Amino acid sequence: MADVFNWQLGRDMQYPYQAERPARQIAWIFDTNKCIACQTCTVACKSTWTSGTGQEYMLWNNVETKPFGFFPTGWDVELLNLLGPAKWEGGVSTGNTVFESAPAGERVNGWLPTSEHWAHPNIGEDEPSGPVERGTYIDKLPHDTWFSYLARICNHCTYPACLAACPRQAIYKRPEDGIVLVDQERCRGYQECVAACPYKKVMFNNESRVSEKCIACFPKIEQGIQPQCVTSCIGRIRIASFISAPETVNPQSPIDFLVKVRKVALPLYPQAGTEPNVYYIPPIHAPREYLRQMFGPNVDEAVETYQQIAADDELLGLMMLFGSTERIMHSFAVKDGIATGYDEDGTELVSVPLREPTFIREYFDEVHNTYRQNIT
Amino acid sequence: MTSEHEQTPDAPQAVSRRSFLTKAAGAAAVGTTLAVGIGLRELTRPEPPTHLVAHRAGTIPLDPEDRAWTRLAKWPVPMLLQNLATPFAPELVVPEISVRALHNGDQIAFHIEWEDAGEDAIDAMARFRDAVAVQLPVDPAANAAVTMGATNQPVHIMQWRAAWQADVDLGRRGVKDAFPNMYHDAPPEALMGEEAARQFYPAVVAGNPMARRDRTSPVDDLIAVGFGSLTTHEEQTANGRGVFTGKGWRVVIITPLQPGADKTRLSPGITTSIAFAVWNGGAGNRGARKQWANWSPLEIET
Ligand code: SF4
Ligand code: SF4
Repeated sequence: MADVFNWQLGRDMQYPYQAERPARQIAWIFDTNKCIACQTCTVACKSTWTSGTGQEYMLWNNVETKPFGFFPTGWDVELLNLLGPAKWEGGVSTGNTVFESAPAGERVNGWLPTSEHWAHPNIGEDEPSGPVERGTYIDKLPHDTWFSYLARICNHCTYPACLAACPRQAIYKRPEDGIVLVDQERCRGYQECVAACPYKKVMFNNESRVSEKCIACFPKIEQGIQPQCVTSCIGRIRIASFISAPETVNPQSPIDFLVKVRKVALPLYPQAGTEPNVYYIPPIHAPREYLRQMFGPNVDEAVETYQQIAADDELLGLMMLFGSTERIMHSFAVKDGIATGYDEDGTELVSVPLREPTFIREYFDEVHNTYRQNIT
Repeated sequence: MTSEHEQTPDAPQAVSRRSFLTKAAGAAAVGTTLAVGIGLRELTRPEPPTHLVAHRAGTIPLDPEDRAWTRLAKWPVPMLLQNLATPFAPELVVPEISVRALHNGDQIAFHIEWEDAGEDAIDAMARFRDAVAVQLPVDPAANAAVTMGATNQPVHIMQWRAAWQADVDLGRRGVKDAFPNMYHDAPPEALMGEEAARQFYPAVVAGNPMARRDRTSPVDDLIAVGFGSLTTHEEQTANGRGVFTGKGWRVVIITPLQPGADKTRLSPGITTSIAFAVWNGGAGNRGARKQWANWSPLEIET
């Protein structure tokens, strides 16, 4: 075991290998508030990568309804059971990670889902947190009865539990972009990674008899294009780009800006200790207690900042750039009501207005002597 | 026994057992006047084997139920929990295996038998297969580490898996066998034919032996230089056959005595070391979660 720094925990932690941060790390932001659970991302991923025999129930991307949806069934409940309630003191996690709480003889504190757990990919879809009583109406926020969508992919963790668990080092993290891959030549199908991943994002191929996982669409990333789940997203909730190392903040970087400057995007179950690289803007109308459990102690600040977005041109401008280009946006700038995204060389990729021009028409159309249904 | 063995720290049981027997025989001779009856009865009984001997035979049957195998005396091998390298096997589910060996000057074969209440021959999500492996030092005279070898101490491992046996006996097993009611509306094979559909199986394209579809042997030749280093040998020469008897497995693993570069190099008349590992898939055994045995001497009859 080595001591490595996990900035999401605010402390050093134990990991089986020395820290070796990649030259750069691919990262994602998902704005849960905009997700409509259309599953276009799921289908884009599935039809690109996992339509083979043996991959029937393999969804590298899935979108689940919280609190009662999950894939595989109960993955987060099991994780919380294994780790116990998260403990934070002054922004520092004082609980044990999946590495630190590993029982004797194990590398990672994990559990292995059965085929039954994988058999219900969209269980709990659109199920609210409780029955909507007669007379219930939405008169306050957060709502008493609620649900929200959680889109999930592999987090391409800085300290992957899947990698730590493999006894034959068949999982590796690419030094050039931090993408975590299962070596399809070396894997012998032990499924240790499946048991270890706290997010259950390594899956077993029943036909090939090896483990497989999200590859972050690396052939696209290598060409400067964002992954399928990002470019196909109907709700424009996603962006993929690079995050700087913990000690560096680049305010022009879309990821750094959202994670480190405005701090509106947070890691999912950071207490597991893998330093996941998918960051979520929490669903602002879900109960805070539940959100703190999911995203850690900085939820309140994140939600409040996001709620002030109308007065925050930079934040608003960046959110408008989501889903506006296929290319990886390395930097952005907001000026005179226009947000612009740039590629690695500083070449402009796209410009969008912060506010779409709106024109409001009269209710009554005098020319046609009729009322209008749509006035904007 | 070669002098190398007497220096092998990993094989103390066999050495001390032999010297113990020699001393015991001397003690018995001294003690004859005191306990003649008991001494005589002891001495006329055939001595139990002190180590594994590969007896010379004309032909070696691949069928583990063949009488040429079952009439041979069994060499019991106590198994240990793998708890040296994580992840550990949590529980000793196969405490003992029994081994027999035959050779014909060209090939050597091991007949391994163990008790197992259930047959686990399916390789699928959260389901693991029964398996057994034989380990031989690449240099038969070397003191290779029993821990799957070490740097400069390579070992040759031959692993039989129940799932591979099913592949050989019944044709490549797949998702349809693990989940007979699985429905797939548009499998790539049906859309574009087997050859074009290969691209949907990266492990197949990468040549991963786990994904092999044309398996003719249920045994793989592997080389290792320590835990986690197990690598399938480019040239496959081992064969075998396993049968589930209802009470357990009987498995034959057969290899040429001289199977080629980087593999073991055996010949009649030598004594080398042999070690074993066994997995009970139903108990979640796979990879490092296994039972293993320390080196024991293996004598190959002239
Ligand atoms: S999310 Fe799971 S599969 Fe992905 S890198 Fe992290 S531990 Fe590995
Ligand atoms: S495509 Fe976008 S909006 Fe649709 S489910 Fe996926 S993440 Fe949500």
